[in-house]
Amino acid sequence: MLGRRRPCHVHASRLARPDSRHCRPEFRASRPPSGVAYWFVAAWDPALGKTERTRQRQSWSVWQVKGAGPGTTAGVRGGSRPGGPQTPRSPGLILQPPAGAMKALILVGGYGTRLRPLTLSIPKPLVDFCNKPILLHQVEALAAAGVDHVILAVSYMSQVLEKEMKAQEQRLGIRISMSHEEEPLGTAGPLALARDLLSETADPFFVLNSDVICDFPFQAMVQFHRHHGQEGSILVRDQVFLLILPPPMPSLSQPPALNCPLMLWVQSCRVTKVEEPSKYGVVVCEADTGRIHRFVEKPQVFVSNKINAGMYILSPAVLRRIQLQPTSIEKEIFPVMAKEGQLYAMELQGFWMDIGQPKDFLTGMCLFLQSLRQKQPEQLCSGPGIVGNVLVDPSARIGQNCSIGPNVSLGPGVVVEDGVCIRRCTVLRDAHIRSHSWLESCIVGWRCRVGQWVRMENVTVLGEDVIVNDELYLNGASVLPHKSIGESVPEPRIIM
Amino acid sequence: MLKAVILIGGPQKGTRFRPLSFEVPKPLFPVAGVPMIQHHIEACAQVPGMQEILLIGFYQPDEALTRFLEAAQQEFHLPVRYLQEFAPLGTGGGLYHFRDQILAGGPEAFFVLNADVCSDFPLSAMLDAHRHQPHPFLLLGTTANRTQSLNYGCIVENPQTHEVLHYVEKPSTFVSDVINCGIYLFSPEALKPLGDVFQRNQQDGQLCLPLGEDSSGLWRGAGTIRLEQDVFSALAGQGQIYVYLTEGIWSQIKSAGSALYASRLYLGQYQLTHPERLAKHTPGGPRIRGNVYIHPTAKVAPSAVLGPNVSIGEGVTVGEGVRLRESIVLHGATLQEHTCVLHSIVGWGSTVGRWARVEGTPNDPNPNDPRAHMDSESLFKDGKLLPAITILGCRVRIPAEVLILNSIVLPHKELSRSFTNQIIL
Repeated sequence: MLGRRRPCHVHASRLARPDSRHCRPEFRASRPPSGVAYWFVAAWDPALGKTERTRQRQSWSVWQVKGAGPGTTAGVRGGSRPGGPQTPRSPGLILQPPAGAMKALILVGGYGTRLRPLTLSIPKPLVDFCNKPILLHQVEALAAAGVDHVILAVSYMSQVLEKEMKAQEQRLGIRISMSHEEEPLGTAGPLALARDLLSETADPFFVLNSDVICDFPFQAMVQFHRHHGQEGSILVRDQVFLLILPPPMPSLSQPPALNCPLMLWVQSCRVTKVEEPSKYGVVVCEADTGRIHRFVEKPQVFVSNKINAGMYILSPAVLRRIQLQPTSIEKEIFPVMAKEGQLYAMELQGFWMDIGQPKDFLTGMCLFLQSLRQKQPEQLCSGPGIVGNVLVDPSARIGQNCSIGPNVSLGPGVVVEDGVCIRRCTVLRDAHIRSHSWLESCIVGWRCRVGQWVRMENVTVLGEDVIVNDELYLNGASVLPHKSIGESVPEPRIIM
Repeated sequence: MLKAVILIGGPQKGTRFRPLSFEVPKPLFPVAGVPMIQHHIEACAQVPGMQEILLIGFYQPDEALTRFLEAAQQEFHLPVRYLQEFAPLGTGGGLYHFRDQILAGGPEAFFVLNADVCSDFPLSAMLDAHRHQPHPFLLLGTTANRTQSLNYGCIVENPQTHEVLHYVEKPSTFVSDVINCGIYLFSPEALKPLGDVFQRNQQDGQLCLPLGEDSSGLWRGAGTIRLEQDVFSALAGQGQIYVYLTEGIWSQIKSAGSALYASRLYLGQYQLTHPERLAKHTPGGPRIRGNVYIHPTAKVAPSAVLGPNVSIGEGVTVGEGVRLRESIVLHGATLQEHTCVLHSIVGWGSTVGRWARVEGTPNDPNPNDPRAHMDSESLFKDGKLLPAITILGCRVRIPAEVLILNSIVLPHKELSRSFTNQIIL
């Protein structure tokens, strides 16, 4: 369930077939941009096998992106289009990171279809989660743990992503490079694609699935990994079968009933089954050392409640196990490593959530804000009308007589007019919520306009620039970008 | 000298009006801010020569009815009396039973109005037609579309003379698109055929012939006379019954949904008849959109937005930022801040919590068909509750932030969560 989920076998044959669709134009162009040509010639070795050549082709954009500075995305996109990168750069520049620093590979991957309609506008890693792009949560935590080079394994809308991450490079003082796969390579293939980068030094490197949010324990992972000294460490967590949600905050207008309040409280708790037992990979490990005996991906019967949290530290030695072809690290690599005693599990403390779909995105937001409450409460908002954990960008504006929270994040430039009630929602940049509306469990996309007396609930997701007319009721609606909604949606459905 | 009789029925009638008819006799249910039959009484009082208004029905006279009669007498300076039937006597039985009261003083003619209709009551025009050519029975008729006509009494008229040639109550196949409005002008001779029906029924009763059940399933006693079947159908084509066609507003008020529709029609009428009853935007007052009635004792916050078609009853409290559209809020109800009430009736003394949404689905006649009327609504189809207006009975409590959609909440319920498409017992 983590990371990329495209069927790999479909693409296996295509990978070896250098038809024009999968071949960068530069390779066929008679006069390629000189920077590219330079590297291509340098790397060309007739002795390389077919797979290796494919690898070179696949990883070409990594170097090109690294070699070319900001503003060269047109060259990446358009190939030999005039105005593309003309200055030759030495790829050697990239190939020599400072010794001793760690690297991380983030499996950014696919189209993010599960987070549509938001991901119709921007790539999933850039969707703001608690007012920060999903990807940046991980990258910042990595940087804080001493990682100085983050490699993003991408395959979709990488230009937008690259541009955005370039800006972060400077701010964080780390290097961010893109490893562009033209074919989906599964969860292990991207490691082979970035083999040269990852095996430069003998230091272990991180591998992360991109849509996971938790209290990233990266430093502890490094210590754990060095301590056992084997090839791989994976972070595991206890599976959550049931989630008990307490009732909503009692409002002042509705005092709690006095007869048997505990019973009433228990009755009004909602119990949600959050995880399918067979959804994730599980491990059977030694309790004291963490040594993994078995790694089973998506088991059909109960094996263990320790499940893969989608974050690993691997030593470069693992790379020899991975070929440049669509490969699942969970199905093909980890079980073997576990059998050979090379894989150890470290238990994750605190919360964890795969925020790849809207429902989990909101649950993850609640968990994240609660964690923020414990660690950096000063980041949370307080004041009249603010209930519980609420994150408000300083540029957002909230009107009079509102009730915001618990569990709300309001992005930059958001305007909330008077008398609005928002519970358990993410409101993205520049959205405008008009007066007296009521929102619960919604994601309001960028620049949306929600009218007066609108009621939205049950994981309603508005794509970018959606207009919801006054007095409507949206129940679990999933609204594609730039729509104007003029009628209520009483039952969950997709508004094209 | 003229009189008017308003047939108000009894508690066994008007079940489709539940749960609102639990609290108040249906004829006293407020439509556009005043009791349903006050619209009738106002129309009658405006006819020159009106001497007395008689209400006939089989309600036990209660405090509400007594108070209403007293208020009406004072307001219109007319005797308004209630004549209680000893048993349900049908639409004509009461008229015959109380014939002496009706004919006392020798009226030239008398109007007979069903309570459960909404109309602009063209009584003077009917009277002119009657005086021009007197006949025992003059019915008010209007047009309906072909399918909907089957739910009403259908009239086949002679287009030149307007004589009623044929009358069928709720036919099973199409008869005519002219339907009976339930508003009549009878001359004193009209009581003669009623007497004939009564005599015949008495004889049948003595012969122990079963009278059978009428269409409403009620067992008919010997005094029962059904105006429509026993008189109009029987006398059609004999030169005694004539029809006066109107193009004015008309609707039946059978269900709560039709009361909301009738409220809209009457509020529209107020533009002409009672502009003082329509709320206007005043500085520091709520925002008014379209036709809205607000009782003088109601407290409405300035940031509330009301209308179109909203009636706010006595002593109602409407909080800040409340939105009301196409709704009736009854006596003593409270709408807390930021609530949104659409296509609903909020019962007496009910409370709607902050940010709650009370919403129904209108079943209004097709606005593009001028002949369309309210469908005779049944609550269910194929065992499923049809989406209709939301009704909160008396003293219902809706907690903050919930949604009540297309539901009927019976009186005195305290809800604790959202409901959609349900009847909440």
